[in-house]
Amino acid sequence: MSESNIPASDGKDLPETVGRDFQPKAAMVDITTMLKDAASALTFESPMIHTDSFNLQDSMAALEIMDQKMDCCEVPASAMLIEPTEQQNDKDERMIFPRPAPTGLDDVIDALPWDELTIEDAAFIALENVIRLESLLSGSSVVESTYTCLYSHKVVLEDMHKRLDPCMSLTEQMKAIMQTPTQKGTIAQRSVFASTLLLVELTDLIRGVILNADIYEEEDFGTSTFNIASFRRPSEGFTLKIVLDEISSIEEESTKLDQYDNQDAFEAIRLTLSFQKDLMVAVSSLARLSGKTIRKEVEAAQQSIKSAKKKLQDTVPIFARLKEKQSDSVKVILRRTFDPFVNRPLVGNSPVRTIVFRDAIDATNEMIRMVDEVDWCVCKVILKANSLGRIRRMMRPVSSESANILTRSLLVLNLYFDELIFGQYSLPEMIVRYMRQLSHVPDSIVNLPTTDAFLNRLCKPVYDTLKLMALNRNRQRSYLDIMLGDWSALREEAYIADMTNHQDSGSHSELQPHFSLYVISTTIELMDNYVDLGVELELLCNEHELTIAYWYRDFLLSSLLTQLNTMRRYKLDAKKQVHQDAEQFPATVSGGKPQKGGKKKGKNKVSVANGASNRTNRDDLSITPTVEDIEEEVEYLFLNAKRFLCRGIVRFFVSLNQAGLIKENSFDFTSNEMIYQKRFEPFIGIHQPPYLTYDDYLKGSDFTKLTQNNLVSASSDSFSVAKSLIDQALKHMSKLDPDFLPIQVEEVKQLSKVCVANSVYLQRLKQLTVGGKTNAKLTLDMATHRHFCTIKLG
Amino acid sequence: MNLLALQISCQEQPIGPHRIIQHLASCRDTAFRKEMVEEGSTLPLSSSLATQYVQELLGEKIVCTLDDGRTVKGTFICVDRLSNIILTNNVVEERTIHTADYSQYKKSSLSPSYIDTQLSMKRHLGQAMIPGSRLVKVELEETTHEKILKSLARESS
Repeated sequence: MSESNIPASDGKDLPETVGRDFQPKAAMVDITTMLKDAASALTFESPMIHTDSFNLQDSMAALEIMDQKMDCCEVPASAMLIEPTEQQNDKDERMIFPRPAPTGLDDVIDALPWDELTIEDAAFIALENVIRLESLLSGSSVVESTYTCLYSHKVVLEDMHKRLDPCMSLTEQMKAIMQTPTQKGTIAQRSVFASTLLLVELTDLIRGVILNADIYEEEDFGTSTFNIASFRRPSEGFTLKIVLDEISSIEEESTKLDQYDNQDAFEAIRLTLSFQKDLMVAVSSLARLSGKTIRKEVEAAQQSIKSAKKKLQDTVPIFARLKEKQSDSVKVILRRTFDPFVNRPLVGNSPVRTIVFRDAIDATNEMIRMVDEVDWCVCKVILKANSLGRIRRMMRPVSSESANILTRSLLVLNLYFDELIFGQYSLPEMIVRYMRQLSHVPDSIVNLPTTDAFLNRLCKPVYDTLKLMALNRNRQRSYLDIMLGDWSALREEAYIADMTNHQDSGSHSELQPHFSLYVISTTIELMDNYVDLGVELELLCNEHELTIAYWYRDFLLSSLLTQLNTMRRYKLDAKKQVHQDAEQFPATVSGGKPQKGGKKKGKNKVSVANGASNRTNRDDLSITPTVEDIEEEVEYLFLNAKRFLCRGIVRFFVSLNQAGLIKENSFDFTSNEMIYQKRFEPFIGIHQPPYLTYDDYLKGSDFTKLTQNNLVSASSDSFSVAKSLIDQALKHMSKLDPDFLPIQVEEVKQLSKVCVANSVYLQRLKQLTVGGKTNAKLTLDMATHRHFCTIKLG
Repeated sequence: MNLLALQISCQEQPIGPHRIIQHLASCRDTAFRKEMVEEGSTLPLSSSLATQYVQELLGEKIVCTLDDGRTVKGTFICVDRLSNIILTNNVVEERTIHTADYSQYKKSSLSPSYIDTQLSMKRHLGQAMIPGSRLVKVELEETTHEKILKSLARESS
C-alpha cells in the first residue's frame, strides 16, 4: 500500500470512520494456503471447522459481505468509466464505494460547489430539495431523503452560514450598527443556503408533528434519524428571516434583468422558496393551534396552503423550460451535491429500503397533491365540521383515500385539545346533538345527572372512533380489534344508564333505550368496518371467504338498519307529538326559546340545567328536514344499498356453487370452519348483535330448496334494489355541500357500476346453466370498488 | 502448490456473471493483488496438519483480504468447504477510497496541482461472513502463528 499524500487539512476534520493512513501493523503471516487446504479437505459429512459454541443462529446472523441484499453498503455499482490516463490503455470499470459524509464546503473528498454556483444551478438544487422533501413525506427516513443533499449536513450549513452572515467579524458588526448590512455572497449561494435551510427546517417540523401525533406505522414514515446531527438554528425565526430576505432580494434582482436573461431561473427559485416558506408557516401554525383564535389561525393556514399549492403549480412549466436548456455543468453540479448513498453506512446492516426518488414532474405533482390534502383533510374539517355526524363524514375520505401521514398527524393533533373537539366544541354536547339528530332524546333525559355521567364516559370511545379514521388501513383493523371490546362493555353501562334515567325521569311510557341504541349502532358500524377492511386488505379474498364476508355484512347491515329504524321511529313519533301539541296548544309551546320570568308555563317548559343549555334546542323536531337530516337520509340510503349489494353477491356466489362453477376448498391443516372462527374472532365477545357461528352461516346460506332460476332472480332483484336506492340517494346528494357527503360521487359511480356489471354477469350465468356449460372462467374483480367485487364470467 | 500456480489461481477467482461488470479489477487492483501474492506465502502443509492448524486457529484474530482490496479483521469462528469464513467479535472492515474518484466530476476545475489522496474507511460489523470466492489472502499475527505451531508440535510429540 503506498503512502498517502497528506491533504492540507491534515485530515483532522475527517469523520471517525475515515482514516488518513493505515495504522502500522504487527508482523503478519500469510496463512491463505493452509486455510484453503483445510477447507478443501472438508467433506459433506464434516462440512465445517468451527468453535464449540458456533450454532445456526451465528451463521444466519453473519452479514455476507458484498451481498447486495444483505450488505447495505454494497450499493448498486456506480460503475464508473474512468477516462484512460497515460498509464492505462483500456477503459476500466470498478466499484466506487459510497463517499463519506462531507466535512464542510471545502470537503477533503470533493469540495462542494460554492464559488462556481450559478443561478441555474441554484434553481435546480432548489428543485432537487423539493424532490427530497416529497421523498421524506412519502415515507423515507431523513438519511434516505433530506440528508442525501450534501448541503443539508450540519457542518456544511454551518460553513455556509459563516460565509454568508454579514455580521460575523467585529468590523462588520460595527458597520451593521452604522448602516444596513450589505448581503454577502452571490444570489445563487444565498438561494442554495435558503432552500437547504428550509428543507432541514421542514424536515424537523414534519418529524416533530408526526412523532407527536404518534399514529405512524413503519410503512408510513421512517422516524429514525440514525443519529445524524441537525443544523441548530441560532435563533427563533432565523430560517424565516433568511428566506424572506432572499425572496425580496431575488424579486429586486429579477426586475433589473432583461426579459430573456435568466428570468426563468430567478422565477423558479423565487417560487420554490415561497412554496417551502408557505408550507412551513402553514404546518407550524396547524401544529400549534390553541386559544380563542383557532378559526383565524386555521383560515390563515389555509390561505398559506393554497398559496403554496399555487406556487408549486406555477413552477412546473418553468422547470420544464429550464430542463430543456439544462447544461451539462448543471448535471455535474447535481451529481456532486446529491448522493443517495452518502448515509448508507449510518443505516446499519439490516435490510434497507431502496431509495427511490421520483422524476421531477412526478415528485412535484405528488407534492401538490399532498399539500392539497392539508387543505381538505385538516383545514376544511376544522373550519366546517360542526357536528359529530359531519366530522365523521368529512373524516371518512381521509381514511379511504389514505391521506399522507403528515396530514393525518395534523388532524389527530388537532382532533381534541383544550378539552374541546377541534378546540371548539364540547364533545358531550356533540354526542347529545348527534343522538338527537338520529333519534328523539327528550329534555327530561338529557338534563339528568346520570346522562352527564354517561356522556362523559362516552367521550373517550367516541374520540377513538374518530381517531380510528386517521390511522392507516392496516392499523385500523388491528385497532378495531381492541375497540370492539370497549364498545361491547359499554353496552351494559348504556343499558343501566337507560334504566336509571327512565326511573329518575318518572316517565310512565315505555322505556326508550336511547343510549343502548346509540352504543349498539356504533358497535355494529365498527363490526361492519372490520369485515369491510378484511375484504379491502385481501384477508378475505377467495370465493368462499368473500361469501362469508358478504353474508356477515348482510346480517350486520340489517341489524344496523333495524337500530336506525327504531331511532327514526322515536324521532318521527316525537315530531308528530310536538306538532300536534303546537296545533292544540299554540300559546304554551316556546319553540326552543328559553322562558322569560321563570314562571312555569305548561308541561313543555324548556328547562336549562347547569352546563346543558345547548342541549335543549328543539330544532331537531322541526317538521321541515334540515340539511343535516338530508345528509343522514342519504347515509341511510347508502347503508340500505350496501345491504342489498351484499345480499345479491351472496346469492350470486351460491348460484355459482350450485352450477358447479366454484369448487369447494380442501385443506390439509385447517378447515373452512377454522378460517371462519379466526376471521371473526373479535366478534365472539360481543353480545349484541350476537356472534354468528359457522353453522349459522351454513344454515343461512343454504339455498338448496331454491332452484337455480329463482336464486339468480333473487340475486338480480337485490342488485336492482341496490341500484335504485343509489339513484335515489344521488338525487338528494345534488342538494348537499360536497364536503358533507357521506360518500363521494366517484364512489357512488363505482357502486352503480358494480350493481350493473353483476346483473349482466348474472344473465350470463343464466345462459350458461341453460346451455349446460359448467366450465366458465370465473374472475373476481375488486378494481371497480375495493369493497364490493364484480363477479366476471368468461 | 507453487507460487506461480497460486498466482494464477488468485487471478482466476471464480466470479459469478452478475459480478463481472461490477468487479473487473482495475489495473491498480490487479497490480495490488499481484503484489500481495509476490510477497510470499507460508509453505503449504499436509491436509491433516492444515486442518489441525485451522482448528487451533479458531478464536484467534485474523485479517482477510478480499479481491477488491478490502480487509476484514475479526475473530475466526468458522470455515466451510468453499472457504467461506465467519468472523465475529467487533469485526472491522477497512477499505481504501481515492479522492480522485469523487473529484473527477469537476473536470473543469481539476487543476494540475490536484493530489489524489487515499483515505481508509472503516466499518464496524457485529458478525460477518467472507465469501470464499472473493477471498484472496488470510493473515495472522506472527506471534499467534508461532504459538499455534508450537502447540501443534507439542501435540505431535
